[in-house]
Amino acid sequence: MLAACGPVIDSSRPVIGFAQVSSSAPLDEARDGFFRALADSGFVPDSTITVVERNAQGDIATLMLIMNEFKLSRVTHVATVSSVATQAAIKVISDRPIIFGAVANPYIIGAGTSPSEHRANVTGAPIPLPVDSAFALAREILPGIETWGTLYDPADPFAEYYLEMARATAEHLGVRFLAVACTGTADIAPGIQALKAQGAGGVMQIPSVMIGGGFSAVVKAARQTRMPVVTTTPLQGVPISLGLSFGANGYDMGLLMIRVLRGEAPAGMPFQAASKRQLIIDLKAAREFGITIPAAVLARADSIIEEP
Amino acid sequence: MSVGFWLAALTLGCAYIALAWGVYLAARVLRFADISPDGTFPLGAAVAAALLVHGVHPLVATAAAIAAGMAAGYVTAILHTRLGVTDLLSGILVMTALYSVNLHVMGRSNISLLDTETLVTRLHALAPMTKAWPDDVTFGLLFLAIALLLGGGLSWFLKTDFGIAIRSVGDNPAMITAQGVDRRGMVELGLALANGLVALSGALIAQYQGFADVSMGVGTLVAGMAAVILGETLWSRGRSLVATVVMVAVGALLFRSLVALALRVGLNPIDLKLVTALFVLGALALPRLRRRAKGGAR
Repeated sequence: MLAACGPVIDSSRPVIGFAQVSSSAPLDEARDGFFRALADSGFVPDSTITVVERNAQGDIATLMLIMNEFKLSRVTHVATVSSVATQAAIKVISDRPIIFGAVANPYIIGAGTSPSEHRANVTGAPIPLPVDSAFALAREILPGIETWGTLYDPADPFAEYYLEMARATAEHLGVRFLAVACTGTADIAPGIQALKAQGAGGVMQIPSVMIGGGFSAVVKAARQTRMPVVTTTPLQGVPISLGLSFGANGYDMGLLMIRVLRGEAPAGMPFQAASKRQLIIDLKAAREFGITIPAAVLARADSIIEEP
Repeated sequence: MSVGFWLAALTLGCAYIALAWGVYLAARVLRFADISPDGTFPLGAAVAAALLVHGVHPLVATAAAIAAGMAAGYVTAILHTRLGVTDLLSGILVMTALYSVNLHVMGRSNISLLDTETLVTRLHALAPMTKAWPDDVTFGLLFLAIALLLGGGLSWFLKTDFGIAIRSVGDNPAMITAQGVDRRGMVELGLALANGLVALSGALIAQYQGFADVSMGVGTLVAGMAAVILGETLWSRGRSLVATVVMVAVGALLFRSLVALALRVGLNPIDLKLVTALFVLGALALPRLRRRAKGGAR
């Protein structure tokens, strides 16, 4: 009886099993970008492809069930966003392509050892966010701030990676760098207050899926404490961001999936780390933080959000 | 597809049996509102993973995970018995502290075990024929064997004089104190055992899924309690000790199967937890509704 309760999968066309570990703004953006790329190339769910979409809703053990479902059903291609979803996929599935996105460093999770040397059935679009470049830009725009800080999520697999990058950049730039841990979005506002209390003059926020999901709280608390915020991914209310968007990363991941759907083998497809950085200046947000963006920086900006 | 899928669900369920027994020991036998499993489950995974990546024998790594869980359970107990902290707050404090401890143990938030020796790779070396079996079969049989051993041991232990004393702590603390039994010592030992079981579950899951993650403890206690309550509700007749231990294990298997069923129904992905909750509710309510219907027919 239980065997009959699964959804009916039309296997006359490619079946993409899409899995994410939880819902959060960055992961949802990557998901949307992935499906937008497919649709732009004519791969439309229930028309030219079948999509089996799953969300473990934060339960890592459920990810294992999801991957087993993909492995044992008619899923022909697996797509994952986030590192734990990719780890679970690599553990369970070895006989069909896995395309990943929203993973900062695929080498830490065992997907490969270099962009071209990776597991034969795995390729994807890492999103190595340029904390160093964004930090240097922050220093250029706000040279008077001698102490910068960030919030970080100790549970984020890449927190240490990005923290090290930020600390090394701070040393290079000759400024002090502080980090305050947040284990949930409820810690964000007190975390910003703690940074201020420790002497931070600005927030150079390192990437984090959890903190990205509650970024409005960062902006709100930073405004109250008059600490300008710089990020590596465009977020609402942030005056300066230099980096990559998760939506674009998902789109890149979708382009890789399209190549696989057209017959290429993942083994011969190097990881495609997003490289097209975008400098986005939000003048309204800059005014709210009381900062002036130099004309030289405005001239380099890819996008300027004007005041209404 | 379904046989393999349900096998994977049962394999996961088998790994969660130790967790369910740990929660049963604390919540039902000792009647201690212990929420430290949300920390001791990932502690078991963290200790096992940290040792495995350093080449420690999987049996030793798993045993160390159990020992770490027992130590954490002991701390929860002494906060309550020696310092007078309420049971709930003791668990909250230990669970909160373990978040940092687990990060220290792992050195980072996630350890990949993809190319690391585990209990199953050791089993492959001992019995080469198992290499040909699907991973879920090997892991499933291994977890089942561990559960049978543990279940037998737990049932036996709870029937010994010592075990009876521990059970009495929950059933009738006044009487046990009057009889000269060290109630505090019994709570400490019982909670150490309970959290040792929980940590074992974490160590097994980490080896099965190929990584340990600091956030894998979220919802552990809820899953354990669901297993205990499912088991107890589905077998309310003749509460013998062995029957209860067996039914708690069945509850663990059933809970994971219901999560799997919710997945297989294939509704909107964001409805997974809602559907799981409805299935668990259905499993709990159906026997009662059926009995009521039968009673009405008479």
